[in-house]
Amino acid sequence: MNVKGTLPLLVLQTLAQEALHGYAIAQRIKARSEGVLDFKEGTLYPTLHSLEEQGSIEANSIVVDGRIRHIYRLTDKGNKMLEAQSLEWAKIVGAMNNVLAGAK
Amino acid sequence: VNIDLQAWINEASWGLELTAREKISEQITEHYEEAVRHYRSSGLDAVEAHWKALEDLGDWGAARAKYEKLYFPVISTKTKQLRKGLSILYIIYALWLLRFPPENDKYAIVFAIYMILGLVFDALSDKMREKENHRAIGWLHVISIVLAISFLIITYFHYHERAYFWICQIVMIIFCPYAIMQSISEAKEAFSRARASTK
Repeated sequence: MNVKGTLPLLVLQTLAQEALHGYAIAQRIKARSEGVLDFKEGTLYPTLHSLEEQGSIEANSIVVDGRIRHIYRLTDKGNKMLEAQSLEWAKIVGAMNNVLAGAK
Repeated sequence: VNIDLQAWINEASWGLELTAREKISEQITEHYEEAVRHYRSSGLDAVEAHWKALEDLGDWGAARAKYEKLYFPVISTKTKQLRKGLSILYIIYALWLLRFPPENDKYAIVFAIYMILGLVFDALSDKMREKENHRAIGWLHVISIVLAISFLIITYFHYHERAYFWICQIVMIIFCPYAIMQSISEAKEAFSRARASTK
């Protein structure tokens, strides 16, 4: 399942715990959602680019076993964005639940 | 980088500026290598790991749609296809005019040459954009402006009794000033981008 427009929030939340590289972010989201939130990994990078441009995350290059790896971490701006988007998401979920409960 | 991965990257980043394409290539390659390493460590052989990693990347079209929103594409897929179709028609028409100019009219020949030059300039301009050579784009537009003005003058002073060519001339008299204005603004932008990149 891929809920449109939720990937930035998922990325921010994942990076709030620890700095990770792109592949690990994708794996972490899939594992945390127990495979329910399954997205194509090729679409992760445009989201990372976009968040980086906004200043919500920053990328650092490190060398691991002779290979360059890009590690992404949350910035202060990203933290604030995560809080705001989480609240908004909670509101949406609450509203959806209310409507669905009323429908039964 | 293997052929399948390179093809995925090329399709996903096609038409974007060079720096964007390089960044995409670097990140997707890094991701693919991590995925292959992960699948190999979980017991898959090299071929299986390769296909699983590519499968995880998904459809390049979906990634491309997102990249197009993020980076200004040199030219969108639909426009490119439309232009390719129109270019073929233009070339056929121009060659036909060169081969059989109506009543050996010189205007038809000039019209055909300008048409071909326009297509060559468009193609060169796209190539230069991909390479982010803004100065070259600027100069191409300057040459286009000079050509368009000269063509406008030729068109204005040329008289042809055939209604068919009258229509061509009216279209050109409307189109040329528009093309000139467009080229001026694009040349200005290209030169300012060239200046910014050299600072």
